[in-house]
Amino acid sequence: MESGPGSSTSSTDAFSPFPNREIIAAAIQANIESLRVGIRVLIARNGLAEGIAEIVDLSDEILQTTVEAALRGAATYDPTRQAHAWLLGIAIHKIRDLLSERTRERARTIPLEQQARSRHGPDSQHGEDEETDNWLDSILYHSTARDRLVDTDPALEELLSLVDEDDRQILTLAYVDRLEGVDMAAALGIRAGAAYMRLARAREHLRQQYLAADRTGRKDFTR
Amino acid sequence: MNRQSISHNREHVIYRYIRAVDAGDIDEIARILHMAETDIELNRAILDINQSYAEELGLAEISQVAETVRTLARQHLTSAFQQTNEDLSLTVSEVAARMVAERSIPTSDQEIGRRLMTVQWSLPELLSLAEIRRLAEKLRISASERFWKIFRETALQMTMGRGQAQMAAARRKRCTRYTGNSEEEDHAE
Repeated sequence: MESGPGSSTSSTDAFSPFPNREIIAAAIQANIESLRVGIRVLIARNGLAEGIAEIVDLSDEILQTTVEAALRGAATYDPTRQAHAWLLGIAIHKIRDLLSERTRERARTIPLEQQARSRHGPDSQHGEDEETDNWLDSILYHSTARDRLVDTDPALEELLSLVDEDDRQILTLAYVDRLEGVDMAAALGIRAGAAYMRLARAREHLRQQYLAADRTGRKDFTR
Repeated sequence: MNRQSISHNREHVIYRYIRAVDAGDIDEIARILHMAETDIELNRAILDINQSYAEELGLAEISQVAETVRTLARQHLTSAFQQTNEDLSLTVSEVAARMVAERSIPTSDQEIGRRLMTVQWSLPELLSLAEIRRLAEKLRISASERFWKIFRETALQMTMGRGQAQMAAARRKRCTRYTGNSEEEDHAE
């Protein structure tokens, strides 16, 4: 370890393996606010706490145990990985443990049929219809650009007619105008994260409307 | 896999993340976070998405309010935040560790960043670019100009985080020492 002016830059032996604990401490410091925000969001969305005060209190507890776990895992930390995702991944495990604990507590007091209904968080989605998603992608990602004069996408137009104006707007920006992330956000005057959320929910609405239309046999989008 | 395919795949993962958060699907969230550990763009997107969720849920204001409280406390209760110069002084290793953690080191200087993490020297009180260059000479470390600029910016940010008192003193010194337009002209007259 170098100690003062005049000391030569040492041979490779002098530069021993990464002081991982120091790296992790710096990583935690650099990411503490975004980690705190992420934990609060996940606690709120999983219904683990109600009311802002309770969310904040529980988040701070999870944050503390996350930081402790991260420091304990210093020896195995890979500094080439994105620290924020790694730390939030640790927090997710803590949240999962808490959910399991709550589930066990509920099992002691709530009948089984009620547990099944309440097991998932808000806006629960029971299984992903991958085939529907793939089919939707085949329409959305191969659409004609809006600035072309020839209208060759009756299928896309008909699909977009299934959703409301707000959803249509963002779906058009993403799949007709081919805007991504930041550009889409700039067009809407919102942050990129909000644009992604709006687009993801618009896709989900589209998927649900398509499935509903498909079940009633009212639509044929293959023409 | 071409860039368009990568972008398309990443977009899908982003949507999976949002659906998982909306659905409270912890296992899916965990899977995607694991993917984000090696995908800087995905990591950034998740950061921004979480911030948007916080705003949607009314949780973002808490952090802002807390910061306002901290700022006001620092202004009106300065004795609670005053520390000795020794407590506030940063070391080369601390700054380098932050740069490694934030992945802000230019690719060509990665090894230098890691080496500096073992150097316990205190930084100069005045964090001008000229002082940083003098430090580099003493260390006998040859890094890019960009590296030292980022090093300086990181050190300044960390210093601000440690105490406004030190920053105010540093600003006063810079005002009396700068005599021209260039940052090079900070020699004593």
